[in-house]
Amino acid sequence: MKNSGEDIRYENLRNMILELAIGNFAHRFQPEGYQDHIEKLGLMLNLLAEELSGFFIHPGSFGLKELADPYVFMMDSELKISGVNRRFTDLLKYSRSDLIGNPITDFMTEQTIDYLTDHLKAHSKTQQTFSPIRLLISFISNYGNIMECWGYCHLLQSANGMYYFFRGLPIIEKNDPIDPSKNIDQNSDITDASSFRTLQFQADILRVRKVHQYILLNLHQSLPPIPVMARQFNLNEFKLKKGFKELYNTTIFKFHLERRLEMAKVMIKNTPASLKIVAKKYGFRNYSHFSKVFKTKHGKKPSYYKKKRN
Amino acid sequence: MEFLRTPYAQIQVKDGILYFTYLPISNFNIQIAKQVVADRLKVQGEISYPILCDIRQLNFPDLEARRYLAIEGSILTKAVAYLNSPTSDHLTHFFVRVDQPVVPTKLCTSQDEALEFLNAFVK
Repeated sequence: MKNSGEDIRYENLRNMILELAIGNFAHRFQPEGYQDHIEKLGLMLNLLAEELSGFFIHPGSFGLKELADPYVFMMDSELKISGVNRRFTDLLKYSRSDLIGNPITDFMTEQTIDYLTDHLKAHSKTQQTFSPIRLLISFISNYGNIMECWGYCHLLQSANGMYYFFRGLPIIEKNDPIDPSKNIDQNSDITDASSFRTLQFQADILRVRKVHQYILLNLHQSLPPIPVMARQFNLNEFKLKKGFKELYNTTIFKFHLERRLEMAKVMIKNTPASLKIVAKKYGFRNYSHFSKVFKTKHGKKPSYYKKKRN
Repeated sequence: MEFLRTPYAQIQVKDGILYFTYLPISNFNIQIAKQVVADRLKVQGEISYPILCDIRQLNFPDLEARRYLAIEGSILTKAVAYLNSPTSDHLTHFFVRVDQPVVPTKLCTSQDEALEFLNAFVK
């Protein structure tokens, strides 16, 4: 029994290495509480995965910022809401009139209220307006759900006193019942939120890698249009195009074309297959088109390599 | 030509299956990978085959060579069965999982197992 259990754990370790090798930095070795080398190595690999995830591509490459639609609200020095945008009302499922004039604290978890008031107090004391403070806020929607959001708070000074201007993005909607007795460590909340964003970003990378493999499996025919591929791989068009460029340093269609031309060249140089057959095998609509793009890529017409072989 | 022996491999077509047996290669790089694919294609002419690839004597190719074998190495192949010893199959497992050859692939530890898989691809 012991050996079998150990085999499974070795298998998990091996699997972790394979996942890293294919770029799945979101995968984790699951620790089981043993104090042995397998566990230590697994945990080290988890750390390696975390480190590697940040090395290659910045999440900004996937246009996370550009795609976001931020919520915005403003409150006065008594923490009463004085203005909201549509995104904010949609997020909290309240009408504008339900929100404006009421304290923001009516729409937050108790932990967030303490957390927010402490930060704002410190912020007001310094009177610093040149940089916003970054907060993790847990709103309570009209339906009782907790909405975890990043928020940037700007301190504004006006003739009527101070205002707080918030803008931010939701992280994830939690359906857990609200439990005020639950002692939430704000630092760990921030880590969770950060992990979620990282995992989301890594999931996108994996999808782009799947598109890459899909292209390699379809060198014999034309690719579907970008919107179709994006739907097929559950990516939006922007992430697909931008992500592919970031990962492979070329565009999807250029990559597809170049791979086909490389394969065609190998085949022409090493087999007696006719040029028309090679063109057809790699999905070119006719020989003339194939010959033209082949020359652009390799500097010589396909017939040059064919003659050289003969 | 249905048989070829090169410094890198022994290649033979028999009963609709191409037997590709790697010889020991000390520094398996991209140039060797290209030569290996070219040699195989010369034996095949224009015909696609299921391939029994015996890698029991092979040293693992470097990254560039592996990438080439996974893609260009798939030309005129219907399927590949990699024959390896049970004790050293982890690197082949790595190749199949990470470099992702674009044809059906199976890792086998006996010739019978490999032929059973490949026979489904023989016309």
